[in-house]
Amino acid sequence: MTDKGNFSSKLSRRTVLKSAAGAGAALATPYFFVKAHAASDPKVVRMYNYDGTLGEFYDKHWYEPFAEKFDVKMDFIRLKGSRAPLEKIQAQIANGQPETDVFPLHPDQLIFARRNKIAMEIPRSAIPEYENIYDEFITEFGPCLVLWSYGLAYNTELVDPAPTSWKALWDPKYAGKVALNEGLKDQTLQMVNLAFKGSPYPVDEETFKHLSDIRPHLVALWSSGADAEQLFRNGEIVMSPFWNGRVTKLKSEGLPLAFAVPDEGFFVRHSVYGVPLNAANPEMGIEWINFVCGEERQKRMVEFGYGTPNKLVEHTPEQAKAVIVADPEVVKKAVPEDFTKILDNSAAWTDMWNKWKSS
Amino acid sequence: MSQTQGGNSKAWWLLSPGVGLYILTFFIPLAMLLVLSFAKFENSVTTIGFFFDNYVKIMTDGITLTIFYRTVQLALMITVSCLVLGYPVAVLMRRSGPRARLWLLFFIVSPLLTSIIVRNVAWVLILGRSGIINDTLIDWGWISTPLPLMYNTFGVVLAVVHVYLSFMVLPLFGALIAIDSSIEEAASSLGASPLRVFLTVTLPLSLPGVTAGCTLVFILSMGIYLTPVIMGGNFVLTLPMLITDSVRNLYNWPVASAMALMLLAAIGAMVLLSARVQKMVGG
Amino acid sequence: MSTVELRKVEKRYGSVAAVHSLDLAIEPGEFVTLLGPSGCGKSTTLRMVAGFVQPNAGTIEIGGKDVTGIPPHRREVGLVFQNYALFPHMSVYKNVEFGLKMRGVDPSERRSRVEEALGLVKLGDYSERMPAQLSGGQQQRVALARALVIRPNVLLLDEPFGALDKQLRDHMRIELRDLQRKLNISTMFVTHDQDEALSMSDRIVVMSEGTVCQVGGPNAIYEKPNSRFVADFMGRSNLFEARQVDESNDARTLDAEGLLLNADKTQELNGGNAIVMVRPEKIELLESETNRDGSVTVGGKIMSSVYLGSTVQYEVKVEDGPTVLVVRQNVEDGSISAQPGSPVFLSIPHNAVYIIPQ
Ligand SMILES: Nc1ncnc2c1ncn2[C@@H]1O[C@H](COP(=O)(O)OP(=O)(O)OP(=O)(O)O)[C@@H](O)[C@H]1O
Ligand SMILES: [Mg+2]
Repeated sequence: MTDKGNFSSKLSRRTVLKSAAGAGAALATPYFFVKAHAASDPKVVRMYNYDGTLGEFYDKHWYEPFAEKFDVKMDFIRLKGSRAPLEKIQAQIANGQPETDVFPLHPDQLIFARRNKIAMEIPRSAIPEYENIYDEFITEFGPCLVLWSYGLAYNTELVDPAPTSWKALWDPKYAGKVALNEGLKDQTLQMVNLAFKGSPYPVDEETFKHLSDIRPHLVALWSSGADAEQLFRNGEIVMSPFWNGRVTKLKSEGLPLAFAVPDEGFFVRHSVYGVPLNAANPEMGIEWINFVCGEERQKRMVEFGYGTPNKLVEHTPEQAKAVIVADPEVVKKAVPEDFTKILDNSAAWTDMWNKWKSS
Repeated sequence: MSQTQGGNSKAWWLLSPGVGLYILTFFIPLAMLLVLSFAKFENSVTTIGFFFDNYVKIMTDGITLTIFYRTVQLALMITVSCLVLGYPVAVLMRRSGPRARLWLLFFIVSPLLTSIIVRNVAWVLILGRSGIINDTLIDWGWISTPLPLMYNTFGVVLAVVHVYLSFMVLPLFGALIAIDSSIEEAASSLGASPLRVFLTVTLPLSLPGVTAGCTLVFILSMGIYLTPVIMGGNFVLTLPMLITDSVRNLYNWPVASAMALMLLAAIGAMVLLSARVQKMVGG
Repeated sequence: MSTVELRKVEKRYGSVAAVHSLDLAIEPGEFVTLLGPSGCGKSTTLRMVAGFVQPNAGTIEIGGKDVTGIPPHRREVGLVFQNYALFPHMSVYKNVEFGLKMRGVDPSERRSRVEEALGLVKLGDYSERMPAQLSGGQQQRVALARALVIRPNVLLLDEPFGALDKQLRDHMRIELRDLQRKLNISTMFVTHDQDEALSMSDRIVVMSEGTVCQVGGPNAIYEKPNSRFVADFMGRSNLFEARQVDESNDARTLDAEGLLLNADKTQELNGGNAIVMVRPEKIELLESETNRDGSVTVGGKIMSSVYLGSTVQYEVKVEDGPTVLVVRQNVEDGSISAQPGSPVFLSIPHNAVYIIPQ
């Protein structure tokens, strides 16, 4: 009897959460145990990587040169889509060790990480390269890298004249040939507001009224960049909100695509590269972050098509056009987003979104 | 059946690896799910406790229940389609020689051997705006604008039926092959036309297979997640999609757990119903 | 007019002929048995009459109507299978009623006919049972009632008692035969059991490898087989190669592998050689040499004796002759103390010696 009593009183809230979250993570990824308990060899740095050409870029320009320079081995976990699986990482941290030493955080994820204390605070002194990074791109968890722009991608042969407004999506001429982004609903909702109200907020009935107007025109709601790419490739759509990097890439493959920055404004986002709490090898994680903040690595990223916060990087006119954010005139059109609002409203917006979809 | 109950009780130990695996992969996570479903998620932070918030939300948010019903509806549509399409295939398999039977089996199972990505690309080529079907119909002048064959419920049902057909056909075939053909011949010699032989003998005797196949397909269909995303253009919503979204994008394990339990309860109810029906049809 | 008539019927599977140019007629009320070893085409023939197998050539008539291309459900035949083939999901009553329902017989008539049929097979009290709740014999009786209730032109039975034990089988034979006589229904019965064929049939059709060897009444088939195959197939027999060595007014003397036999002269002998058959139960066993009129007596030695209950079977080696099989009734008259090795005499009547026509 007494034994039992003792046991239940010891069963603290934290242990339950820990084990529950752990079980959740185990369910989500059976291989997690194996990965997380791999020896924390200081010579091994574990990273996430993306699919497709961005992943290839990371391999070639951000991972291999680092491995060579520091004589370490790099292990990768492929991401599905563009976001790090915070729900899984959080469970792993609660249960011991996260599966990687570095993780990319979207701006809203950064706030989540702050609230749940799942990222390590990195003092400025730990990253010498911060010297050349614009101040507003430095957070307590790491630098904001990979500046990507969210505008209108369109088929230059089938969309004429070139769109200058988000409202072009609503043009009956393109009914049945346009798509919207489901993966980042918040951005879609802000875009609708921008198009019709001139400001990204508030998300309300009116926002969804405009969505209902466009609904019969929509081919699909895509949820990952790869899906959208596929829709453009096989001619299912001629226009969709998209990010600039994929457009640059499709253009280089010869597809008649272009990226437009609408007059109402566009969005610029980035990834904060941080070190998850309890990481096996935080020193090398920080070392890598410092490494990629450097001019050389940032130059490569610009060549690939995404913007940089590094002051030293110079752009050719062509690069400046492709990365969008290098042109001060264009940057003026960037609309600031309230990521706290986005995070706190995501559940409510999701419900509204789903209701709209099922209506 | 009842004889085995009197068997050596030590033989139960043989079950222990299986039971152990079950406890590890089913009951423990299920218990965790139960605990989590009563947790609270506020300001991005999960608090364990005994809160009904998640269940209240599910019942009152005006969307989760709707999507739950639609998921059941979709699963029923898929199940019925599989039955209607699968029965003739099973009959054909029964009537074929061993060689043709093997080919049919391969044909039916082949979707399980290809990845969802490959299948999706294939479907776009066939059903897309400028896919084979639309192109042909436009060429023949039967239609002037492409038919919406995918990115809707039709596309989802078609793609899921394509994959799950084998789960219907195999139990059906099993039930049909077990019917002694002399029973059908007897009916025929007693004056039943082929159609009446089917309706009065073959069909009733294959009911255990029908129940098994329908249960299997229904349960599997309640869990579809990727196909609606790809083939439904995200317009077709299912409860599993909602669960995934809650975890992946909202980090809300508690509400996802409550939804998962709701799904599990629906599946459990279906299994019980099927057991009842199975007993009635004498399977 | 025959009830069933097959003319030059042929069925080939690939290059093999399961049934080859078969002619057969069944007269009204006649009980005809198809008899032959496994694989000889009995079932195939029956299934062609029922309509489940389409002949490659020839015609089939039932009730004077050419039914060659007609499907089974429009043929008016009653079919009984070895495995009963009852509808497992229907009660006994529903099983028997099935054929009447298919024919659109109105409900009140259906009821009386089903009851009558179940009465015929003495299962009136079992109508609400499911087939799985019946014994094998009961199930077969239900199958019989189900086939008879539609009053078919012809009743077709394919080894209907094959799954029953011997005692029940014997009983069912009698029951079936009585029923058949009572209803006067033309019947085509398939079996590979000679006793069954002999005990039930008006006529027996002996088949071998898809062809008919001999058609005749049980007596003719047993006593006067037209070939070595039929003789051999129809029960035990002594078959000898024989040659004529002498001839008198009314008898021939034959040398059968060293054994000298007399046969009635009425039997033709084509050429000098023949095969003769002596049924073992027609040979008498004697302790001492006794000459009888119309018999030959030879000495020999008992090689073996097999006790079979009602009969005893001996193998006797004739001096300078063949081994002869003898079957005697097991009557307790102490006539013989036949131990293996003991000398014995065989008495073979002239009329027991049968010359198989070539
Ligand atoms: N569907 C079929 N396909 C190929 N060959 C067949 C088929 N049915 C029967 N045969 C062949 O035809 C021949 C006659 O078969 P059948 O069933 O008529 O024999 P049976 O006399 O009834 O034999 P048993 O006493 O063993 O039942 C056999 O050689 C058999 O192998
Ligand atoms: Mg047979």
